[in-house]
Amino acid sequence: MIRNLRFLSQAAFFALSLAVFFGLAAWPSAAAFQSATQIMPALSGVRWLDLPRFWPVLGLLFVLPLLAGRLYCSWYCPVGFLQDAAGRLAKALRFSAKPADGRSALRYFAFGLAWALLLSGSAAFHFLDHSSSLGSLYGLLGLAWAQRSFDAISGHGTVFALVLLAVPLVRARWFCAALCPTGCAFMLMRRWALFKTRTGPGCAVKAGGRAPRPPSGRALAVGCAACGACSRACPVRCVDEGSIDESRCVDCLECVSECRSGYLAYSLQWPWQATAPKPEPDPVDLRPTGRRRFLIAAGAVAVGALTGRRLRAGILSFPPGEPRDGIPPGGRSADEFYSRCVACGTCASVCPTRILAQKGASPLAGMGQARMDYGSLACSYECNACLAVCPSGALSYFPPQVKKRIKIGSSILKKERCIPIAHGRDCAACHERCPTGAISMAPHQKVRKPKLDDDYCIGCGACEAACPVQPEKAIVVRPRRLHSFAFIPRPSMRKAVGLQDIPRPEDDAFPF
Amino acid sequence: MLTRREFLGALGSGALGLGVAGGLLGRLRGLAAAAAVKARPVEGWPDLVGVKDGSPAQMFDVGIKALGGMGRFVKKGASVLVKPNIGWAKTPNEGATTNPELVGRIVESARGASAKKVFVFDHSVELEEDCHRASGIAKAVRAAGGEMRTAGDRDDYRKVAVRGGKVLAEVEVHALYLDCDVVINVPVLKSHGGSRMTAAMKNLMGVVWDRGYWHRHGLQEAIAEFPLVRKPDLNIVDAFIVMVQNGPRGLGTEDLLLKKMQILSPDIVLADAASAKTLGIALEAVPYIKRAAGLGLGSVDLDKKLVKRISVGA
Repeated sequence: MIRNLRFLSQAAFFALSLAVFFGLAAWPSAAAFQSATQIMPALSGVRWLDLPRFWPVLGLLFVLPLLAGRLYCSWYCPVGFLQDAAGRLAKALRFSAKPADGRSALRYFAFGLAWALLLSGSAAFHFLDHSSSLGSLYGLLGLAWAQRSFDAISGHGTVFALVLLAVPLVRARWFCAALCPTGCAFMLMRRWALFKTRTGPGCAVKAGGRAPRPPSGRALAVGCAACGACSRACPVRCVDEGSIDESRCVDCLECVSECRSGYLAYSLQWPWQATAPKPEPDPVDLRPTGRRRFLIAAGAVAVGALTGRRLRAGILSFPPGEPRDGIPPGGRSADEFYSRCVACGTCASVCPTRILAQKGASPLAGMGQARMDYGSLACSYECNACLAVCPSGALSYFPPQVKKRIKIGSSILKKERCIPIAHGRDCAACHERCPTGAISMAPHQKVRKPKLDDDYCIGCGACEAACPVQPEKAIVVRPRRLHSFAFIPRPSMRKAVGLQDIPRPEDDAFPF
Repeated sequence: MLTRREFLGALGSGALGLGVAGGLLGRLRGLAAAAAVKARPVEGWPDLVGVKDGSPAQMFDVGIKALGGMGRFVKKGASVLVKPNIGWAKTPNEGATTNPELVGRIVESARGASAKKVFVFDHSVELEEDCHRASGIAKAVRAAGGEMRTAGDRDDYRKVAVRGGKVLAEVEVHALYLDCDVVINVPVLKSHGGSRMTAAMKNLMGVVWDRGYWHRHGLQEAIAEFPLVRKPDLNIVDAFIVMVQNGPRGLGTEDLLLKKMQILSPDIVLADAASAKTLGIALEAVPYIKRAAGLGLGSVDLDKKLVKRISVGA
């Protein structure tokens, strides 16, 4: 029952994430909701106090672990869903995945690193973040499908595909236990959760042979029957004969529903109420416990955070990206855009003209982040699909009529290459495509040459895409590091040159 | 004394009588008009028909009748290509694309003349899908029983030599333009920053793959030489809404004039000569027209040709 319900919930949210990624831009509310649930990307704008539209959802997700444990991880997260699915596959194939190590120094290091990067304004946290990485995986599939090739794939998505689909075959939910910075934060908060999966002292019956003692006078359980149903049910493999590995438990409730003796329970306990007595340390287990474990974890977080800061000041410092890499409309500025773009590729997947691309294997800073691939492609004037889907807020939403005015660059005319100016032949390929009236045609000898008015130019690249001059174009876009707004095209004030004799509509006779 | 009932009755029958008489009169007038164009004129079919003051579909009906009917161009079982301007993702009232009502009516008319298949496509400048939708042409064509085709796949194009072409020695042309039995060219009349005017000849740029080559090597020459590959059998220039400035894309309704005209001609050069006058610019301002005439593709001499002018509203 619980198992099926959970599967339905996970599958539904997985389907939602797929739907948003692969073109549900027509339903912006769904996309906005989806954005708010992608914890780290949604928080990437916290430096600018820029939170997603559904910020209460984000806020709720952040107090949820304190109230009800890691329901986000077990009932919502699509990344968890994929790993669970791989785990089920492993089970079906009869080789059961081993438990992952939920207390590794790696986990705390990744936690410190990712959050330090996020707070210091580097989008490089996306390499560790679960939702961004899932985005890269989708991007990989989306671009491969759109381009019918595997050329434009970020290496990250490929690695993440292995982590999600292959590793869980041998280590149950390895990513959640070993890397996920969001999961780690939730795990730490879960410690004080009011509701979470709890055990009675029954396991002690088996382990130490002592009599069961109900905690704080409440009859929580009658004792563990040691039937093993919980460990068979647990998708994370964190329950074994009634003892829960708190570092990995995601409160999926499957063990609770399987426990026949009522020993495992998802129950309320106030923080001031006494917890069950700790079982005697296993003399064979040489892993560090207690204070030493805490010190190792804290040390790993500190090293991670310091590494993050160091990276941010060094290899990830601004300005990242080539100057030629245009920032998509809605990106506002290089600073904001590059510290928030999580390289998920959602924008590239919805871009109808495919001018939005992901940076390839350039230095770490730009890997996979969105860029305008000027040259033979142009940003569609009427379209604002990328702004509507961006989950991290790297591109903020503007309605089409505002987006049409966002100036992301300026066109530069190279006169010595321009066909009418250099060769005296009519061309106007750039003027033909210009949607804003920034390019008008002025008389030049016997022909007409393009004339640029930068006040109207938005840097869409239509002119550059259209320019027939080879190999180097005669008109190119110089992207801006700081976006602004262009003037609204007003054709009545911009009468075309050379049309002195415009026939009047009341002219009744045939003109020929 | 007239009772109220009698009065109302008289009023009703009077109105009925007037209506019937009016209907009959209109019918008779229509029959007379049909009879007038059905009889083949002694001096042959007109070289060009100009129609004005009707809706695009209405003007087409009148114009094609004056040219001898669709049956003159489309024989039974023929495959027909209708090539409108669908280059821009703009709505019909923005004047950048051919009127969808007109395209639909032409497709319908070709189907009515027992064409086997009627294809419609344009190698759009902007995203093809958006252009098909925004222009309303895809919908109109489907409703009329035509078949929308795409033009974004290079495999659909065939390289052909242009006999007599100087700038255009060879060109990659959409197979439908080469293979269809009948080609009906349906441009919309607009000003153009490069070629000065886009009408019949310029519209054929939408059946070639590499337009950049034309721009690079001589736009005017290439436009003039392209019909050497094949001349459309019929040109129907949509001048209902005319973009008189800032063409071919246009910036707003201020660029448009409502001219309510249509030019039909089997002669592509003659159609462009009439279009230039309709646009209000001199023939010399559009260099490719005379150049095409020089290549023997048609005539620019509207005075020496048989031109029929019909005003639908009169």
